[in-house]
Amino acid sequence: MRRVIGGLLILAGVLLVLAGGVAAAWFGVDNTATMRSHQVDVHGTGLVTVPRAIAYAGPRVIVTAQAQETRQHLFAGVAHDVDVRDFLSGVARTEVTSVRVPLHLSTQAVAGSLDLSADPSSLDIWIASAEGVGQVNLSFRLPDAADDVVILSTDARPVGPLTVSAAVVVPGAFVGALAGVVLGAGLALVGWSLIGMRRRSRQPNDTAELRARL
Amino acid sequence: MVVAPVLATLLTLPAACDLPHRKDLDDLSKVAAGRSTAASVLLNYDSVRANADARWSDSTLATVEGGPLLRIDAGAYLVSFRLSPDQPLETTPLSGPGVVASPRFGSYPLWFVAELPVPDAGVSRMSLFARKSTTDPWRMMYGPEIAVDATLPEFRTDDPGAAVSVSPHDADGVVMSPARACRDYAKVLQARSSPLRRMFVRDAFLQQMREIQDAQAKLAYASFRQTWSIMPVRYALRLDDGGVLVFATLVRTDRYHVDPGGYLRWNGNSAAKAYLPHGVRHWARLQYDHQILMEIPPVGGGKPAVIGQYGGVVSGVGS
Repeated sequence: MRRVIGGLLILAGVLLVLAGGVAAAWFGVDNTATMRSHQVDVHGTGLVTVPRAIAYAGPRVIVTAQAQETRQHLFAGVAHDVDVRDFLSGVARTEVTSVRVPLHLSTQAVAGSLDLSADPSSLDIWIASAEGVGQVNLSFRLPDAADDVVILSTDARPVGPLTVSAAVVVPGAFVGALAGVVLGAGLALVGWSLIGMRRRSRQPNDTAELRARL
Repeated sequence: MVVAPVLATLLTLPAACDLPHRKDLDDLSKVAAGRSTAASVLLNYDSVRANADARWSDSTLATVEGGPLLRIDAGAYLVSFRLSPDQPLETTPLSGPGVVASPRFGSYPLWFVAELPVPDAGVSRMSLFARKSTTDPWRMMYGPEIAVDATLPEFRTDDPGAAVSVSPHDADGVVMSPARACRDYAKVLQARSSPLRRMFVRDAFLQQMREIQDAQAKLAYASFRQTWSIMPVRYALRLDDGGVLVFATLVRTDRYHVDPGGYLRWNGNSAAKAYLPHGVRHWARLQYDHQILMEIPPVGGGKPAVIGQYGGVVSGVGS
């Protein structure tokens, strides 16, 4: 019985060591897991996620969008879906209907005009926002509310193709992964010692048996 | 020997990681404003209001007020400017917010109610702020005053703590719908013999208006007629006891017909004097907007009553 338990602990420990090792290598010391970039042909003024596209909350993510036109003014922001729908009502855009990891975006075009009713940076609806020329980097915590991520052209012309990449930042992920390695190694050691104890406990019995024979 | 580090790792691992979790996307609505948003809206209101008061500037005030409330305050500016041009309006800053009640919305416009005590005046303003769209500012649309020591009915809240709005024509659980209550109340104000008067509490506002009617009816050399109408009712909230709290605006028109050879003028303290400084020889028409806060009790809980009001003269013509 001890041998079986010991074997299982060793197996679990080895798996944990492997998983922890892979996670530590993926996140690295900056606790950031970067996904490969995805190119999107954006129709209209911007790229906007619908609430169901981002089904998870929790970790901090960094979204980077790069326009083909290097002098294009870009705005990126996160706001509640009610606010985003109101602000972009009647504006031509591309909606991201689903996000798969590693990064793949499913999209649909929405017809409308190219004009935004206001400079997005002047609004108070954003939970997080950033601006850039040619490229924009937006860092935010994936919210629990029905929030949308938007990337807009602010110079009244179509965005065109955008190269989008994302990275997930999980504070303590590297330490956690290393802790997993340590925990796995510990479990394996416990399992090994259980098997070892059984071997050692057999030796006196064998001796006693030998003595009886003599 | 191995147990200690294993336990330490198990205890610290969940805290160390901000792990992803599925979020609930069944409800895509949002609460119009939490306490911090209400506080920031109030701070902006107070600052703009002080600036507008100092210059009697209704265009400045229009960035933070709207609807009939703006008409009432713009009317107050005109009265103050014409009657006391050397004495700018004294701003009474609002404090708080006290109670903040905000329903959930699936689309714009958004609105919320905040109780804003005015300690210097001994009253609280039950202010309703609305926002038409993301590109519009929050504007105070209603500001009826209630006595600071008055018992404010508690608002009903749903599971996440949002207030529950009521459709103006919804009479579910209450003695009458908000729209009907306000319409019938206006009829009672206009005709003191209306059979509808039995449906309402003879509240302080009703008594005050009766006193004005009685005083004006005694004018020598002029006949007086007062009519009342109601602006469309839009905002109502469910109360904890099942009743409803309604924000509404009543429009009062005072008409005077001066007898031939007579003359009618208003005394120095009257707001009407700002509109008709030289009096009239033939006729005059003054319009007042009164914002009221009406509590409609649940069925079996009594009669509707106006528990707060704010109003003033908004126009005056005559010859």
